[in-house]
Amino acid sequence: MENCVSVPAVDTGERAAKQPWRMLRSRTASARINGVLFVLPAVLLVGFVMVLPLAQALYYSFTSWNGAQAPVTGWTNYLNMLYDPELRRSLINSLLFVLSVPFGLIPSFVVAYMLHKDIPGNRVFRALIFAPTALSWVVIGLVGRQFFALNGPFNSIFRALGSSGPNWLADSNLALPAVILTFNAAIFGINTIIFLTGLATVDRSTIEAAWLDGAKEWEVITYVILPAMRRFVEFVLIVTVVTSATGIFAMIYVMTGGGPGSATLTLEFAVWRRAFATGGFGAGAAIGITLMLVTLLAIGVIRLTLRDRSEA
Amino acid sequence: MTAIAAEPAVGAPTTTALRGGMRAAFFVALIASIASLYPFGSLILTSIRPPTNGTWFGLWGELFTNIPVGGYMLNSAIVSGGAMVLVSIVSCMAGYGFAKLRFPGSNSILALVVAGLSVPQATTIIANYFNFAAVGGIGNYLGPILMYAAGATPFSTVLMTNFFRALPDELVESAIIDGASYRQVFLMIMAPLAAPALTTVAVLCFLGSWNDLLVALLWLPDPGQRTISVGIASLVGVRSSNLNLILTGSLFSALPPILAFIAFQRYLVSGIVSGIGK
Repeated sequence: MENCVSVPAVDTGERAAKQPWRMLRSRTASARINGVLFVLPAVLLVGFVMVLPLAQALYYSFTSWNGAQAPVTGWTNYLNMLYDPELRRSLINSLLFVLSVPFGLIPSFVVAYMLHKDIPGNRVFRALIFAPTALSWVVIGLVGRQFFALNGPFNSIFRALGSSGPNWLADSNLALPAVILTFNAAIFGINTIIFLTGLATVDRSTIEAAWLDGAKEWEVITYVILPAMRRFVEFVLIVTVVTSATGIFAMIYVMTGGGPGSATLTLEFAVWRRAFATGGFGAGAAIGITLMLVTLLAIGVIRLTLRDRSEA
Repeated sequence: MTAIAAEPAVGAPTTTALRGGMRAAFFVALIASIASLYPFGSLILTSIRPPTNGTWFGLWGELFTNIPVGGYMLNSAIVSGGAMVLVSIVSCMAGYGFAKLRFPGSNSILALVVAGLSVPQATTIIANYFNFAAVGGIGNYLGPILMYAAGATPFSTVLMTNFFRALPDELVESAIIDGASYRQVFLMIMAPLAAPALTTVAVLCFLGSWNDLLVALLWLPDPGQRTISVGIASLVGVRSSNLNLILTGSLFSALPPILAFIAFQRYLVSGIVSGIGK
């Protein structure tokens, strides 16, 4: 790596010193060559681990690749996203995850807003709320598994009321809400801290002016603070939606394994189950492409929605 | 320095323009903080409480005796450390190149690298698996190292490019006129200046790699090469009846990220929100 960049670089230095009139031109050329060489490792990594496999995945999504043979089957894999009950379930589950995000962000914003007031112990509260961000999705999934267990802490509410409480993660109707709740609880801390960072960027004189005009608190939040931190709201929404769709394989793996049946199967998890558990690599590729399209669509919707609001 | 700390303006009575409802705000913050402590409290209590017919701290004893957690930790350290070093070098070089040594098409190539941010890992995992298998990258620590480093490259490159763009061009030009090579400028001037941004890149990559499950599960199938995340997650299938032991293991697995988190907290927030344009 270092050898290949040193040759033209040293050369330029010497030539520039001997022939100052050529300095500018050769320096630009040398800067360009060095530019290419410096960005090359990153481009190669992204090229071989992202761009090339994406193109391959696109091709394989139109085949019934089983690891050995890949006969072209056209749109079958994509139609199966709707016809295959398990895959349809995973598509719906992923959409439900994505749709839960705006609701999950409300407590984050409320707590960030409260923390932005000068309450005593502010710094300690921030540190505590941020702390669970250090935990991996494996750990979070396991804590969730314990929390929703038949004899777990969550059912102690039901026990106090004299009933035994359901077995949340083993019930095909209750498992998904429990997993979605765990996800939203886990991203609460980091999003609160990002909202706090956003609140700190809001121009305080604008807020002061709104108070002087006699605005109520909800008006200040809706018409002054939220528009002023629109970029942060957009960022948090996009990152959380992307995480909910593409970043929680580990949580589902340890919490429910996608089950019972396919009750908590997401598109992301279905890629693994179809491809690596049953050898349907062509089908898995199509699920993966669908996952990317769903994610991009969600990002597009978020961008458009927030843009309209700011212009209105 | 920290992005989360809003410093009070000189002479201002408060640091915020928000008013009223202080008592309610305090209680909301208190409840949120207690709830945030739940996973830690639950994990610690579960791990030290006596299991059925056992003693205090018995689960820790069982963990260290029956499960090769030391080896798992070492494997995690190898792949996370390797990925961290690789992505730091690669993104620092690329950031310098994209910001200071522009060439025809460099902005388009940067855009291509950034586009990698919107490619989910699950979308490319199958093709990646077979590509790596074809060149002996499965069952080899280098496989996950390259996967993690590549996964962290788009974000890290954006962060480093933005960092270098904020430095004056004269820094490079004057050194070149003085006879330094572009490589020397990079090693002697740019890389040392980039230390804070590089710390962010390194810590985020370390946390992401240490906490990964999917790649390690597929790329390192040999039980002797298992990372701690895979080791713990695999217990769910084998010893699902002993959830408390698995939780104890998961707490142990979380110790290095927790320590990194405490030590580098201020770099994390600034790094995470660095994607938000001004």
